[in-house]
Amino acid sequence: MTSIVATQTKSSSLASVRDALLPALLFFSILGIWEFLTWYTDYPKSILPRPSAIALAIINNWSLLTSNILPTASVALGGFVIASIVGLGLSLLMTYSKWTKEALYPNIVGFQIVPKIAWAPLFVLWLGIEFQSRLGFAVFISIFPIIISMTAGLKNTDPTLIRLCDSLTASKLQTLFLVRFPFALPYLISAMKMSITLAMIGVIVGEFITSQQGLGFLILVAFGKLETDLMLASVLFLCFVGLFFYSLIAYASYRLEVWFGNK
Amino acid sequence: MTDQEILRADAHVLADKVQKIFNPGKKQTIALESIDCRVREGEFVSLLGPSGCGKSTLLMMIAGLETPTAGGVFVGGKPMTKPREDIGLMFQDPTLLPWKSSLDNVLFPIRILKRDCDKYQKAAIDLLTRVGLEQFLDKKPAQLSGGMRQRVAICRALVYDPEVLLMDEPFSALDAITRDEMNQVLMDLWQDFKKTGLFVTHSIREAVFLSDRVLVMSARPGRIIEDLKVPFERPRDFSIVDSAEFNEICGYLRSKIDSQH
Amino acid sequence: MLEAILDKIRARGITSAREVLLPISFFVFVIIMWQYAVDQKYVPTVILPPPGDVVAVLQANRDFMAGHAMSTLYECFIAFICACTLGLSISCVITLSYFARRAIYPNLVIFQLIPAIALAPLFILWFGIGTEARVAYGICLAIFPIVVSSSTGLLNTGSNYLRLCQSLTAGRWQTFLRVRLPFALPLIFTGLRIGLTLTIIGVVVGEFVTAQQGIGYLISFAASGLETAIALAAIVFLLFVGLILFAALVCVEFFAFKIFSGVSAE
Repeated sequence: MTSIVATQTKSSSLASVRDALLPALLFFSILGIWEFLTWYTDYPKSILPRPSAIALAIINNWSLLTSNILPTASVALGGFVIASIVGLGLSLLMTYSKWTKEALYPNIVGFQIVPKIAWAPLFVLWLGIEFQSRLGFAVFISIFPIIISMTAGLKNTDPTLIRLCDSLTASKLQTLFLVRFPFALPYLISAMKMSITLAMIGVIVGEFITSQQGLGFLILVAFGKLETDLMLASVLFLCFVGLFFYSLIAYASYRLEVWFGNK
Repeated sequence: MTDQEILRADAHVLADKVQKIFNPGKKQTIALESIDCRVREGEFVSLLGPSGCGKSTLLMMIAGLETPTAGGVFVGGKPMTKPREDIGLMFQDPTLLPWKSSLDNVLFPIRILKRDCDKYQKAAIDLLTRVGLEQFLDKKPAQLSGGMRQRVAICRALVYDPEVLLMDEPFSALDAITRDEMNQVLMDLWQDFKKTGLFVTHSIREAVFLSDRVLVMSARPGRIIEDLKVPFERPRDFSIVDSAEFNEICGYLRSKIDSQH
Repeated sequence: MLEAILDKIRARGITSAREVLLPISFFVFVIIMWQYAVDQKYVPTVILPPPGDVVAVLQANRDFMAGHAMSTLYECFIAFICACTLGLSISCVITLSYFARRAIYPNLVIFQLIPAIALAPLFILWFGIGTEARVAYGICLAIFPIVVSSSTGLLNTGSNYLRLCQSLTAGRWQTFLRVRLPFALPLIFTGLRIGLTLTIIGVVVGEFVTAQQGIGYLISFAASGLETAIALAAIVFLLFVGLILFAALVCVEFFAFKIFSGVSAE
C-alpha cells in the first residue's frame, strides 16, 4: 500500500534507474554466487559447471553451436507458419459456416484435453526420423491456440460495427477484410506468441526423440558425454532463438498498437 | 392512384401498421403493436419514449436491418426488404474503426460502396471542417474526445449523401455539455443538407429542440400515443430552449410520457 | 476447457439437438473413415491400426496400462501441488514486498522465455532417472506461468479499490486477503490451468527421456517397436489422467470462488 504511494510521489529518474538496477543486480549476484560456490567447493563440472565454463564452452564450440541453429530454427519457424496459415483458414471456415463450426469446434476443444506432447513418438513413427516428423509435430502442437483464439477474435467484432456494414450494403467479404479481420488481429498476435513457443517445444521434443542435428540433438549428445557445459551452452542458444522469434512477434504487436492509435 | 399510393407518395419514410414480435410462440414478446408513422421529405422527426419501448427496433426495421412481423416499411415509395444506399445510420456509439484516421473513417462508406475515394476526399474534408475537426483529419479515434468521435460519425453518415438519416440515440452516451454542443452541430448541418431525418432519443429537450415533429411512444408494447408539431421557425437558435413556450411543450410531453405509468 | 463446456450447459441448457448431434456424428464419421481406410488398405496397420485393435489392446492390457497411468497421475499430482505451493508463495512475497517485486519480477519474465523443455537431460543428471527427476522437471516447467500470472493478478488490483482500502486504514494483510486475492482469483486460476498443462508435459517428456515407467515411457516404447495400437491405447489412458487432474482443478476453482464470494458477503 505505502509502496504504491511511494512510487507515485517519487516517480523521478532515480526510481527508474533503481527499477532497472535491482533486477540486474539480483541476476548478476546469482551468477556471482554460482561461480564462487562452484569454484570454492570444487563442485563436479559434469553436474553443475560454472558460468565461466559455459562461456568458455560457447567460445570453443562456436561453429558446432551455430551450425545447429538453422535445423532447429527453420523447422520451428516452418511449423509455426504452416500452423498459422492453416489455423487461420480453419477459423475463417468456422466463422462463416455454422455447420462446420458446430461439427468441428466441440471436437477441437475436446481434443485439447489430450496432452498433445504424448503424440510425439507417433509422429516419428508416421513421418520418419527426418525433419518431416518434427515439422508435422510442431504444426500439430502449435495450431490449437491459433484456431481457438482466432475463432474467438473473429466472433468478437463489435456487433454495432457489423450492423453499420450491413446498413451500408457491404458484402460478407468486405466486412471480413475491412472490419472483422483487423479487429481479430490482436487475438492472432497473442495466439502467435503462444504458438511459436509451442512450435519450439515441439521441435525440441522431436529432436530429443530422434534426430541427427539441431540444438536439441546437441543437448542429448552433450548429455551422453557428460559435457554439461556444452549442454547448457546449447540451452542458451535455444533461448536466443526463442527470444528472436518472440521479439519479432512482440514487434508486430507493437506496430499493431501503433496502427490502432493506442500508442 | 389508390389511397395507398397517395399515402406512400406523400411520405418519404412510411411505417404502415408495423408489428414486431420477438420469439413468436409461447415465450413471445410483442415489441411493437401496429405502428403508423410518416415522415415527409426534408422533415426531421423525433421518436421519444422510455427505454425498451421498441423505438430502436422500429428504426432498425426502417433501415432494413430487421423485418417486421406484420405490416410494411417503405422508403421513397419502395418497400424496405434489405439495407439500401440511400439511408444513413448513426448509433449510440460512434463505432469508428480504431486503426483509421478521422478522414479515413469518414471515407469508410465510400470504400464499402466502391465509389471513387479521390472524388469524395474534398467533400469529406469539408464536412470535417464544418464540424470543427480540420485540425484532426489524421488523428485516430483513440486520440479524440467522445464528442469529437461522434462528430466524425455524423460526417461518416453524411458523406455518401443518403436521402434519409436514421439516428439511434446518437448523443446519449455524451455528457450534458457536449450533448448540447452536438445538438447545435447537428442543427447547423441540418439547415444546410435538408435530409429527411428520424431521430430516436429519450431526452425531451433534445427532441423538441431538433425536430419539426415529435412522436411519443408508449412503453412495451410500443404504440404511438402523441404526434406533436413543434412550432419554432427554422433556422433555430439555441436560445429558444430558455423560452416559456419551449418549456411548456417539454412539460406537456413529459406529462404524456408519465401518464403511461 | 471443461468449465467452458459446463458454462455453456448451465447458461442456456443445450438449445438444439443439432448442437449435440453434429459434433458427435462428425466424431463417429472420423472413426468410420479411419476403419474404412484401414480395411481398404489405404494405410498400413503399422501406421494406423483399426479402431477395433486399439479397443482390443485396451481390454487386454488394462491392468498393465493402468499401473503406468497411476504412476503418471501420481507424479503429475505431486509436481503440480509443489509447483502451486512454491509458485503462489513466491507471488505473495512479490506482492507484499516492494523490493522483492522490483528485483524478482523482471527476472521471472525473462526466465519464462527460456525453453525449459530443453533442460530435461539436466534433471536426469541432477536427480537420476527416477520419480524425483520427473517431478522436479514438472515443477520447473509449471512454476513460471503460475508465478507470472498470479502476481500479475495480485498486483493489478484497480487503484480505486486500493485507495478505498487506504482510506479505511486497512493493513497490508487485510488489503491482501480482502481485496487483492479475491480480485486476482481468475488470473491465478488461469495460471494454474497453464501450470497443470505444463506439469503434464513435463512429466510425460520426463518419461520419454528417462524411459523408466509411466504413460510417456509406454508410448515411446510402443512407437519405437511399431506397436501403434498400444501407443494409441496409452494416449487414451493419458486422456483420463488429464481429465482427472483438470476436473480436480475445476472443483478447487469452484470452491475457491464460492468461499470468497461468501467472505465478501459478510
